[in-house]
Amino acid sequence: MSDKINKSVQRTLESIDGMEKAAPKPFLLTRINAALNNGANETVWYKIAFYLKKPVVATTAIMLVFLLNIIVIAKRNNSLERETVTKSLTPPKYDFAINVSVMYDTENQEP
Amino acid sequence: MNGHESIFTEEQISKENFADIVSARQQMVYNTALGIVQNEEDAEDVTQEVFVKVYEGLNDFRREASMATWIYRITITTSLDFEKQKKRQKRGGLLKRVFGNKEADESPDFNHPGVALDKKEDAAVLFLAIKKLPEKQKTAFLLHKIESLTNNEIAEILSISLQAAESLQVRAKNNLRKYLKEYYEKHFN
Repeated sequence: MSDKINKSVQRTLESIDGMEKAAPKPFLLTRINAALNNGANETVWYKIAFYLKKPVVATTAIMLVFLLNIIVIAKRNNSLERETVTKSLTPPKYDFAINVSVMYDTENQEP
Repeated sequence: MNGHESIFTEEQISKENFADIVSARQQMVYNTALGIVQNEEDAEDVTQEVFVKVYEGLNDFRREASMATWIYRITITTSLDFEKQKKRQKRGGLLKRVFGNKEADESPDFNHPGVALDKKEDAAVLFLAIKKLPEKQKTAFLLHKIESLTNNEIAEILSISLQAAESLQVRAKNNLRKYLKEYYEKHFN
């Protein structure tokens, strides 16, 4: 069995020795010229659009937009919370104006 | 290199005689690309892309290397990039691997048009094994087998030392033996 495998391996390794060269289809130059002309017609906007169309670029851009949204929302929530805390810390005396001095108090001085 | 070098003198390498460059180098580019991408249509696309790059780079070609070496380098890089891109595009490849559909990936399916009819079956198995080689080993082996380049020429193309090129050949052959042995052990049992 081992001998059979070794022979097959050797035969396979030698199978492409002296093989002929393959030839491309005719009119290769015509196709190359067409490709070159297409390339020359590409505008800057076409190149930008082509770049943005790439899956990696598109995915990264979407992720970035999501990330920016999350950051903005988080910051906004944070500032709202702070505002609430500041409001709740206002002493009730200001809310009910207990110590507000009015003209009446100054006019009715106790002897 | 390959007897083509005499066609090009210094002043002849220009955009004006691009058609001559294509005509003289198309077989070399196509065969190298075909060995790497192992698909005739893909090799056509790669060949086209290589010559577009050659045309665009002709003005910058500094003649530090020979024309053939320069075109070989472009061909190898473009073919390997094409192969990587194709692998990435294979949707569901991960699922296939997870669900054990390994057989489809491990069946010899490439028939090189230059191989003799009686050797086609063995050659398809060999090309399957070549696919599994690391990039540099694969390139060195193919340049030697398909393009009949010497280790000196391979070293120049890959920008490595002669010893490194020889080492790549030896390692490629050893790895191929290992892969083929595993393949036949599996298929004979």
